[in-house]
Amino acid sequence: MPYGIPPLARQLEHGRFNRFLATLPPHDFSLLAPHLRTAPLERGVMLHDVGEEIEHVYFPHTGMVSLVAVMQSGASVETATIGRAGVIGASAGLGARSTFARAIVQLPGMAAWLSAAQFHAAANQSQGIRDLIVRYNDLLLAQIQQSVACNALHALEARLCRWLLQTHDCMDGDVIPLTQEFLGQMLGVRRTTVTIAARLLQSAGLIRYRRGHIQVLDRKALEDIACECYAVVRKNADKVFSALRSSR
Amino acid sequence: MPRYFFHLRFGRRFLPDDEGIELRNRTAARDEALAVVRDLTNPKIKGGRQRWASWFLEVADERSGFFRTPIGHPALELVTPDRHAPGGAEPGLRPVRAESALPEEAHAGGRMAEIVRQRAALHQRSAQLLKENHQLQSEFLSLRLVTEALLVRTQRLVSLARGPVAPLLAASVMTTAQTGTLLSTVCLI
Repeated sequence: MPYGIPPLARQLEHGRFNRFLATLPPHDFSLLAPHLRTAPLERGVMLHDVGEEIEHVYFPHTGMVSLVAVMQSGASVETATIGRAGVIGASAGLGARSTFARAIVQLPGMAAWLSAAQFHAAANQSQGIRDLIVRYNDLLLAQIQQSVACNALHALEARLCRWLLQTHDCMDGDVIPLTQEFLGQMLGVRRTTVTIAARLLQSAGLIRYRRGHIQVLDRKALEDIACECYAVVRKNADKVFSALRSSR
Repeated sequence: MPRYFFHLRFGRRFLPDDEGIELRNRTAARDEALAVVRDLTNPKIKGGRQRWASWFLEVADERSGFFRTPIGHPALELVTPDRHAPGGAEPGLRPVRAESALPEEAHAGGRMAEIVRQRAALHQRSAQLLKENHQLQSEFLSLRLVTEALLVRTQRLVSLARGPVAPLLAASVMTTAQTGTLLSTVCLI
């Protein structure tokens, strides 16, 4: 069941395509709105690195940012993906100063952003924003827990389907462009293995895979093959982003 | 760096890799293939090995296939009477058989047999040389014994010749005769 996505242009005008922003009640949103600016997320740009100070907080409307854990050897693995259902640097609102992960734009898009200091100041005036930050951090933790368990226990094709679905949710179109480097990071297995799984899905007619570009052909079938993790993460997100509204 | 292709095969199904990946050499490509098999058949994932039963991973370079491994178990495949896997005529990939039908592999097999033959011959030769050595050693030992005996006799004869006592001369003649017998005995050994 895909999101009921409203027309992109109209949503962007109001700066509320991002689910975090869209969930805030009007009063809380009005604390952020004067400071929000919109900027493109360009592929490969590092929004922050491990141990860096948080300077900006990003609310992606489209595109996808992945949180990556980097080992001393230089090897890196994606630990979470953040799209329109997320925030990069949310903890800055609660006074966090530095980050524990590297955030890289994997799929280009647009994001609303403001400075960490402005976000912190707004959160200080709003219980609603603080609540949502805490809920969102819980959600992020849940997503990471789910992906750790998934990478350890679920078959590769199911994981690839899960990943394609969650990425497809962040996209405007059906073609997901993937860099060679990213193919080797995203599922915790080597690139050759990921492309083998992609060829299997292609032979079943679910996707078209061509030199790093994956086109989703049959989303319904992908949902059938994906492990339960996709639905679990989606359900968690729906819970977090609807609870605040219904409580007011 | 050369480019290597990782094709998948399951019975008549063939999923070619038209993209490939650059790796240092064939050894690196083979290691990559084995690592992929480990990725795909992670024992912690239930049914991983059965899921990939009878799937084969074939590695090829720009010219031909050179490595082939089953991904899961059991690994069964169809073989037609002429001992070629069906559907193995894709351009760029010659049918790669587990029992080494590749020209290179056949060639390698011939060389192996040759090496084994050479080794067996060398073994035989060294055994023979050892036997000869043993024989020579025992002959040498006999000769040494004879030499020492002769030395003793000679010394005795010399001392007798110097001494004035006559009866001892007869004894010395006798011992010379004994030396002769000893010699012949030694030769018999």
